[in-house]
Amino acid sequence: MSYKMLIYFAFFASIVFILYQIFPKKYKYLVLLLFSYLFYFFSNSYLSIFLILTTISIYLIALWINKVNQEFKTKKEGLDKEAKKELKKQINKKKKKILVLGIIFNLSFLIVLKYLNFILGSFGSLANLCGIDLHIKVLPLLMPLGISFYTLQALSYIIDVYRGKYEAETNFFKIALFLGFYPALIEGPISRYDELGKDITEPHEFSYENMCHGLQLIIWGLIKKIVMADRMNIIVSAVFDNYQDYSGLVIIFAVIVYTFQIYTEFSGIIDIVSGILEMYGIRPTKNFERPLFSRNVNEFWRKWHISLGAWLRDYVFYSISLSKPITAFSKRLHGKVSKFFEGFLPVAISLFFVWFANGLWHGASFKYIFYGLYYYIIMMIGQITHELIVQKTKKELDNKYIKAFQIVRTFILVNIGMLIFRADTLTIAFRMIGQFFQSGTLNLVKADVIDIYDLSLIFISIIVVLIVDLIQEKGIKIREFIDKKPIYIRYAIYIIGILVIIIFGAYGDGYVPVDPIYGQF
Amino acid sequence: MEELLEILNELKPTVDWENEEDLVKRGLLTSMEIVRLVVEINDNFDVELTPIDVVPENFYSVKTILALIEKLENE
Repeated sequence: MSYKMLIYFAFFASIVFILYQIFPKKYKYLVLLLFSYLFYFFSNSYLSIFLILTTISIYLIALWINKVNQEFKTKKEGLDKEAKKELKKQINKKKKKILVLGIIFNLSFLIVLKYLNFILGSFGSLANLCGIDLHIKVLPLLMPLGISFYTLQALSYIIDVYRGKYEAETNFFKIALFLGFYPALIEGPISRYDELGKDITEPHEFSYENMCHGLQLIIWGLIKKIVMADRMNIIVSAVFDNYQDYSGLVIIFAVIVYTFQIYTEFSGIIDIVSGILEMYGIRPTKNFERPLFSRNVNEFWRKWHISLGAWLRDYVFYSISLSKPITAFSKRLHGKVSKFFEGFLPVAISLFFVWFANGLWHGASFKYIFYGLYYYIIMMIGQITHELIVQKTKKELDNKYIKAFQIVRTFILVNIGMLIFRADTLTIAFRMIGQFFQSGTLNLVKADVIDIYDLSLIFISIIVVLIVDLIQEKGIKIREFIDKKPIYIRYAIYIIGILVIIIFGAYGDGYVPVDPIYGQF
Repeated sequence: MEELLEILNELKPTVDWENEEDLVKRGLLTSMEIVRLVVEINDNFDVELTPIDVVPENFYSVKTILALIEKLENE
């Protein structure tokens, strides 16, 4: 995304905001829908058809499920308990068929556009191993913007209606806005219809306080993206692209910087999206909660890309772990293994699918599948060792030294995960890990990776991000703190924020515009 | 109540179940433990908890878990 594009985007977002305020209550959400679709058509052209097909399909599927529910309500009148139970069973079967149809229809777009080349390629490699040359060509498939994000939202909507969490929406345009809301199509977050979906379609009155709060978050998001993340990219791309030329210390340093790059970039863009929503008075879906202070990888994933983790938990993990085969398996284990393994094994099976899906969601390659399973293995080892420790000590270990050790350990594990994530292939990731121990200098300036100006700004950025996170971790709300200051201090803060972006932004000569990392998913 | 406390104590003996009011937010009940708890509840009570019942609000405290069981028993 070039910075010219960013200025266009800011201009576009401002126009939409002003028009939203002018339009009568009843039509406010239609302004958002119209401009969201304009934005989508301009950035996707004919690929927009996939978003439209998904929208129409889930709208109809949910209404169909609703109709079946109504049928149950009418037919159950006057029936005895047993007959009611039997009718419910039949109705559930019917509903399940409709749901499966909806899931297959929508997943098929994602599978074809995102995974088909990978599936065919893997098939070709397998055939090659068996001595058959299949000559499989890479298909020129283009992915529509945000397909991985809006497909998950679409599935959550029909599954929620199926589960009876809420009724199907009868207004088609509201569903269209829920899936197509323009800022969320870049990097999410993955929202739910009963939360963000309902909120964006309700009319919101203009509020000066909301506008200021939103703008503050947007400025902070822009600082994280343009000043911090894009500058960190200089070191990261130089080292990851030519890792053979660098010492172990330089590689380790670049990996740590990458962790901060992806954190500041992803959370920065989410802050911009959340800021836009807050300007309207809409409550954004949370996606980050200071993940770098996590004590274990489970906690890290509860605080990093929260909306993806929550989606996988609610729609994959619970669906599998509470399914009949898994609960039956759990019962069969009763008395045959220890109490711990009785609970652990069914969960471990379910979590395998969660982490496999997590890896695959990030990209169509073995590297991403390995990335997901890397966390799965760590979590499983963590569960078992935790149980062994509790069994031995009869209590949870908890003091400040253990906490510090756990945070550092988790940070190291997360960094290795980020290395796998960023490296071009899995083989390169392993080679880079192998090169950790290669001696040599850490002098990046001397090695001509970066100049002292950019390097200093990267150090300052990392310190600022950590301080802001620490302040928030202590429960201090920075924006409420700013609110209490006199108007001239508040405006001075805004002006300084904007000047920081203009003066220290990593744009112009010598800097490469960096596309949103999660945008490609 | 007693039966539920017995299940919970067996699941995680280190937690003061009766006095904790925010089991989910404080990380005392992870999603993995919730699954183990649901299987136990389904086995020991005349209910069948499904994914739709597994929302944080139902697992804030012993009281909310018990309220969920009672609600399902009366359905």
